[in-house]
Amino acid sequence: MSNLHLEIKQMIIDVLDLEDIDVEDIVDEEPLFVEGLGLDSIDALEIGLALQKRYDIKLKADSEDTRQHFVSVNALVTLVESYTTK
Amino acid sequence: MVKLTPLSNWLNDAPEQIVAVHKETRVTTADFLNRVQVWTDVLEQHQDEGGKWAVYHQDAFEFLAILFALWQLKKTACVPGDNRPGTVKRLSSYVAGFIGEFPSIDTALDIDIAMPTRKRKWLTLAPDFIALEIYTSGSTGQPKPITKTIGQLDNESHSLALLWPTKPDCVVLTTVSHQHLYGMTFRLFLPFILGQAFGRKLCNYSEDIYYHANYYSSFLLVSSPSHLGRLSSQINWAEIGARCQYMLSSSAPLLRADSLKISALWNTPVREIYGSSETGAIAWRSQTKDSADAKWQALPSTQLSLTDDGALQLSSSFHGSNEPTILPDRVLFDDDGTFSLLGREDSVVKVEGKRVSLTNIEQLLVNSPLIDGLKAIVLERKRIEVALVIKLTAKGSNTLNKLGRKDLIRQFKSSLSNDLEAVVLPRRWRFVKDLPYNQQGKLPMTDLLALFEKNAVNMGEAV
Repeated sequence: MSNLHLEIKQMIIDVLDLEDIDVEDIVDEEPLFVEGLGLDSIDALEIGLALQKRYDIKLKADSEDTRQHFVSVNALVTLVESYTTK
Repeated sequence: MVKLTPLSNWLNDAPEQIVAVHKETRVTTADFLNRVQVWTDVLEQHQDEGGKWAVYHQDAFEFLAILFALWQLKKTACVPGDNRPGTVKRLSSYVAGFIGEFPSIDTALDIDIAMPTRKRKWLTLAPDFIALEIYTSGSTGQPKPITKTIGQLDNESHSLALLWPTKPDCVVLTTVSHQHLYGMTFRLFLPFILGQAFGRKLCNYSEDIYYHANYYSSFLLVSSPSHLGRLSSQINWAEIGARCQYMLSSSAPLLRADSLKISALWNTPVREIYGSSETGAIAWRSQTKDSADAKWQALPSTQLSLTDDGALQLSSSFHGSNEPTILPDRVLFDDDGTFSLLGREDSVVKVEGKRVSLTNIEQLLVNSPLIDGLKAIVLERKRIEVALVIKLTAKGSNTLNKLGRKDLIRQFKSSLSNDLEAVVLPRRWRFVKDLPYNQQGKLPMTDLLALFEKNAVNMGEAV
């Protein structure tokens, strides 16, 4: 697990105030929403806001695109990397 | 005054209008009539199967066309809030068929591109025709069906159109689903009879709202506290706010601070609706900077009063009965007839705007061989969430020791997710040796809440 993977998992747990879930429980490639971690639409809004605050990421104005980025921790890592290496 | 075309005779009147939009694409009255024909053709092959059909479609335009097709064949549209397996199962013994997006049902009717077989003659619907059946959480725990006649739907939209006149070129964008009554009324029926175009798809994120709003010279936004309380502050809202006629919020009270913040950012009025699936819209309010928390005022053609024992009662032309309806909300009236909402009187709660019965959640688990007794409560932490306090059976305790908390909770959650939307799934769990009943045989809320003040211990805390 890279540092960024770890950082994003911890961010998810903190901003969503999750209980009974540790960083080890979040699998890099597993879906975050519905199956897998079972997050919902409100969690998605919170994650979006946290990404903006922490990494200054502006989401593209297209739900489909955003959904792709939010699919898994791996996808979020790719999104954050694409911003921080610019 | 803008001309209103009632739903009951819309197909015959068929006013020339843009019915719906998605980005730069738009569909007109001709396209709509076409789709209603196609759906009617498909349904007509099942004419003798009965009066009630379940409908689910994420595209608001298709959804509305299906409703009109059902109505033309004198069928009632049963509209569930979601298409989860538990919902489909519950409906299947009850409806004649499923139409639209029901991936778990092989026989559900759906169509792609098709041409109508012939030109139809449209019926005018009688005011007492039962057009809709929707479901809501009742205090018994079972989803409660509520019916709406076409007359009720028309009367409600009429009353709302008079309250807030808007221009016909105003596009209605939204963050709320039309599978619930609030969305159906405000983002579909109202614009449709007013000749305004509605957005076909939901805006899920702040960025979607901004993106879609940029396509239109004038729009209004139908939303809820869950979204409005979480709008991104990095977007230049003032830019699109100038084109926003007003913003609507319903499904739960919007915090005054959120309301004022948005109304300043957008420079547009934020209007809140108080209503229920049973009654439709009841009252509205709009916060102002200079006064305390705004009071609610009844909509035109709605009369509110208190019964002798202090319950709120309502009469209106669209709530569906000649008898006044008693509402389970506690209110405080001012001398001028405006009022404050104080909360509900039963076990039905709003979790992030979604109405859910805590009794229902308890019933879904109480028959598990692992559970001896349980209590569901609502916590207000970073968000509003459901929490459970559970007394396990001996078998349950063994399972807890064997699997550990996480796996046991995962198991319970996965069984609940057949019936509950993710937003209302319990997010916090406590396994206790005994439920904290007091000497009166009640579970005091303070004792239950106290269990969630500390973090859960890793294995079985008190077990």
